[in-house]
Amino acid sequence: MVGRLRFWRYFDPILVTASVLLTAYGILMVYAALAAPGSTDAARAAATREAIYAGLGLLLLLVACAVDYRVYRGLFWPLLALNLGLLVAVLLIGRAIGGGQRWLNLGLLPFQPSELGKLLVILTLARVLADLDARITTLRGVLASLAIAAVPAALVYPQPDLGTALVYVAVWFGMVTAAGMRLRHLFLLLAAVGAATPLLLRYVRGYQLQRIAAFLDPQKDPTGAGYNIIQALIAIGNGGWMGRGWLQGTQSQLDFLRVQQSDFIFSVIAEQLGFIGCILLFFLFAVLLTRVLAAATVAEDLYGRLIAIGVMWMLLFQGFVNIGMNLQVMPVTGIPLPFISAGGSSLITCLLAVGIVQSVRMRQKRPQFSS
Amino acid sequence: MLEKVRARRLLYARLAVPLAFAILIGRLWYVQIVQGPQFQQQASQNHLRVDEIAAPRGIIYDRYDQQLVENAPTWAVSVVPSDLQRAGTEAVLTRLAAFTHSDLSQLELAVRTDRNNPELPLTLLRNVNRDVALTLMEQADALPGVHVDADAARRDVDAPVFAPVVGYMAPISQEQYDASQHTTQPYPLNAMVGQAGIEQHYENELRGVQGHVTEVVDARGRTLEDMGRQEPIAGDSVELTIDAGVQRAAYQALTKAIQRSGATVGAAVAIDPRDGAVVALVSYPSFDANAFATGISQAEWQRLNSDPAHPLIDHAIAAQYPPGAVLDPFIATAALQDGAAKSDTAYPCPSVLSEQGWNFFNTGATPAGPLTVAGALAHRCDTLFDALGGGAKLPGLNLAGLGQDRLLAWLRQLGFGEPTAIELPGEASGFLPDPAWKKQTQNADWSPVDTYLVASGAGPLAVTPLQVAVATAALANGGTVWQPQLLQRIIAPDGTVLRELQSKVRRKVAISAAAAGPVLAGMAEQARGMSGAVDPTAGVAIAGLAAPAAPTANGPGQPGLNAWWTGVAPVSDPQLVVTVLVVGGDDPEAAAPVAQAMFAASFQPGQGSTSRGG
Repeated sequence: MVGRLRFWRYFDPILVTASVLLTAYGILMVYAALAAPGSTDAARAAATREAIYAGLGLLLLLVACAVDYRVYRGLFWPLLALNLGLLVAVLLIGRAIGGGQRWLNLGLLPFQPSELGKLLVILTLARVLADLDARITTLRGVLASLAIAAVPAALVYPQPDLGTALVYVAVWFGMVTAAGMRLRHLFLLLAAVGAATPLLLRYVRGYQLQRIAAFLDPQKDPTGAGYNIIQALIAIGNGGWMGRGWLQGTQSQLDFLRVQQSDFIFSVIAEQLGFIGCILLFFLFAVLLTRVLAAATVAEDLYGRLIAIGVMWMLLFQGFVNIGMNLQVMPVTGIPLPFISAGGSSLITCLLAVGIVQSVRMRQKRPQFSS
Repeated sequence: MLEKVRARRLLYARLAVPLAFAILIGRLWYVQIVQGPQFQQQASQNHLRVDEIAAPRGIIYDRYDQQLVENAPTWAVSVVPSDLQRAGTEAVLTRLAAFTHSDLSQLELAVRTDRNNPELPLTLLRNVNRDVALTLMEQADALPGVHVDADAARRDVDAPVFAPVVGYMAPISQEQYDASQHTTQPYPLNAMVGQAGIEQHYENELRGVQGHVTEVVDARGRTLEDMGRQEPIAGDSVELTIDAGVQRAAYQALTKAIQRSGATVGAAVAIDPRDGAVVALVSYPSFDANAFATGISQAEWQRLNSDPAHPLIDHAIAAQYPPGAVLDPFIATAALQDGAAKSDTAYPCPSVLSEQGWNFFNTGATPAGPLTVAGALAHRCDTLFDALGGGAKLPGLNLAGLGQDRLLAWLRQLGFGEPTAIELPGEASGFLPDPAWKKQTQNADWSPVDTYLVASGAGPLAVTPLQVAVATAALANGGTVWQPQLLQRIIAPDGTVLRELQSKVRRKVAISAAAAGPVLAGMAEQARGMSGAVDPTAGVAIAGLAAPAAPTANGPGQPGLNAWWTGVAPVSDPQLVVTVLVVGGDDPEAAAPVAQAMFAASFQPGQGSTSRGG
C-alpha cells in the first residue's frame, strides 16, 4: 500500500487543474452557445450532458493515474485490435449524424471511436517506437511506425472524417520526430507525398475542394460554403476587447453562427467573452501543454516520454487547427476544440489522455538522493 | 548521439507551443481589435431589421368634401432575397406560390432579376387579401425570408371620371428612388408614388412621414422583440376646387356626345372666372387609374400606349388643337376695345373672304344683311371676324381691323401660346405663330394671309381647351387672366388648414364693359338659338358659342371636324366658364349639350351659385 502511495508524491496538480478548468470553461460555453432568447432547454440539456461526460472523464483520469502506464505497453495487440475493430465497426454499422458516419451506438451514449482512436494510436505508436528505439533512424523503422497511424487514418477518412485522419498523421509526425527520425527520411516522405499528390487529389471529395475555395475567398459564396467562415469572423470581431457578455452574443444566440457548440465554439467564446476570454483560454491551454511536456521531460523511459509527446501534439494540433479555422487561418475541417467543444467522446478521450500523462509523470525517474 | 537528437527534438516541441499561440493571438488581435468595429457593424446589421411602416396617404377630396380616392386595406408580400437563399429560394417560393395561388415561375423570375442589394426587401405580391395574408403569417416558420405587411391600395372612387385630375399611383422608378436617397425622407424600394396628376403634383404633401420599427431577428428571419418604434405621420389631405357633380356630368355628357357624333377624343373644362379655380377637367377617352395601383399588366399598358386616342393624355391640357371660330369672341372683344370696330355699327357679312388665293368661309349659313358685332357672333358671321382680325378692307366697308401686330398681341395677352401653369404635369403650351417663327422655319416673311389664318383659328395656331377657358374667363371678368388652380385647401391630419386657394393673376388685360358687353350679348343670343342649349329649369342665362374648327384650313363642314363650345353663365354675374371640345366627329354642334349638362349640374337647386366658390 505504501509502495503504491509513493507515486502520488509526483502527482502534478497543475496539469489536472488546467484540465478541469478547461472542461468547466467548455461546459459554460456549450450552454452559452445553445441558449436562445426565451428558450434555454436545449442549452441546459447539452450542458448537463457535458457535465456527465466530464464526471465520467475525470473518473477515468483518476483511474488512469493509478494505473502504471507501462501496462499499456504489454497490451499492444489488444489495443491495436480494439482500435481497428472499432473503426471497421463504424464503417460497417455506424450511425450517421450530420453527414458523417462516425458514431457507434453504445446503449444510451452515442460513441465516436475515432476520438478514442487518437489515444489508441498514441499508445500503440509509442510501443512500436520504443521497441524500434535506435532503428527509427532507418527507413524501414520509419515505415513500420507510419503503418500504425496510417491504417487507422485510412479507416477514418472514408467516414468521411479528414480532420481526424490529419490528427493521426500529426501525432505520428510529432512522435516519430521526437523518437529521432532522420530529417532526410522526412524529406523523402514529403517528396513521395508531393509526387503522389495528383493521384491523391482524385480521392479528395468535392466538398473538401469547396471548403478550401471558401477558406481562400469566403465572399465568393457568402450564403453557401463561405457562410459560416464569414459569420465566425463577424462573431469574433463583434466581441472586441471585453466581449458582448455571457449569453449576450447576437451571432451565437440568434443562430447566425452554425455548429456553434462544436466546431465553431471558439467564435462563441470570442463574441461573448472577447479578447480577454480568448487569452484566458490560450493561457489554460498553454499551461496544460507545458505540463504535458514537463511530463515528457521527466519520463522514466522512452515509451512514457513518447506517450506524453503524442498527447501534446494531439492537443496542440487540434487546438491550433480548430481555432485557426475559426480565425480563417486554416480551412474548415471537422476537428473539435479539445475540452471545449460539445461531444462526450472527445472530452472523455482528452481527460483520459491527461490521466495517462499524469501516470507517466507520477512514475518519473527516481531522485538520485533517495535512500 | 541519438539521445542528443531526442533532447533537441523535445526542445523543438516546447518551442512549437508558444509559436502556435503567437500566430493565433496575432490573428485574433487583428480580427477582434483592428477589424472589430467593422464586424460589430455587420453583426448589428445581421440581427437588427428596420421595418418601414407606411404612412396613410392623404385623401383627395372635391370642393364639397366628396372623397375622390380612398385607401383600401390590403396586404403586400415581400421577400428578403439573402434570407431566402439561406433557407433555399426554390423551396420557399414553391410554398409561397402554393399559399398565394400565384405563378411560381413569375415569383422566381422576380427574385432572379432583382438587381438590388439582396438584404433589401423585394415586393413580390400586392393586393393580397386578408385570408391569404393570415395563412402566410401562420406559416411564417415554413417561409423564412418572407414578410407580410399591411398595405393600402389607392382606389379612385370613380376612376375614369377623375383620372385626368387625380392621376395615379405606380411603383417608384429607379431614378426617383435614387434621387430620394439624398433627401431627408428617402423612399423605400417598394414605394408606390404618385406618377400623374394631383397624386404626382402633391406627392410630398400626400405621402406623409414613414414610420419604422426596429426589430431583433434571428437567422431564420423571425422577429424576437421590438427595439423601438416610430409611428408614421399620415399625409395631408388635398381638397380640390373640382366639383365632383359637374365633373361627372361632364364626363357622362362628353362620352355621349363623342359616341353620338362618331368622334374619338374630347375634353371639357370648367373654371370659375372670379378666381381661376378649376371646377371640372375631363378628358375622353380616360383610363382606369386603379389598374396602376394594383399592378398594371403588360398587355394593358401596351394597349393604353398604342391606342390612337391616347387615353393617358389629358386632352384638356396636354393636347392642342386649332381653335377655329371659337376665337371669334376674343377678336370681337379686341376689336371693340381697340376701336377697330364699333358696337353700334352694322357691317356686311360676306359669304367668302379671299386673300392671296385663300378663301375664308362662314361656319354657319351666311346671314343676309349687315350685322353688328354682337349680331355677327349670334349668327356666326365668321368672315367678319376673319376680316377684323386680319385687318382687311372689306368691299363696301371701311374697316381697318386689328392686323398682324395687334391680333397677335391680344392673343398672347389672353394667354394663348404659353402654358397656363396649372398644377398638373405634362401641360402643352399651345402654339401662336409669329413672323420670327415663320422666318425661322419656312424662311419666308409673314404675309397678310398668315394673319388671316390666325384670325380664322386655323393653321399652325393651336390651343388647349384650358387656354380657351382661361381666355373666356378673362372676357367675362373684365380682363383678368388667371393661373387656373386645382387646389382648394391642404388639410393636415389634425384638421389644420395648411394652405388655401390663393388666386393667382397672370395678367390684367384692359377689357372694358363696353367691349365685353356686346360680345357676351352676342354669345348669349347664339346660345339661346341653339337647340336645347338652355335648360329652362336652371333659370340661368348662358352666353356661349358653338364653333366648329377644321383640323386643317381647307374648309369647314367636312366630317372629322373639331366641335368647340365656350361660354359663361350667368351672363349678368359670370360664375362659371365652360369650354368643351369634341375632336373628329361629324356634328359641329356636338360640344354644346356637354356644356349645357355641366351648367345644369353646377346650378342645380341646392347646389346653387351662392354656395359655389366656398
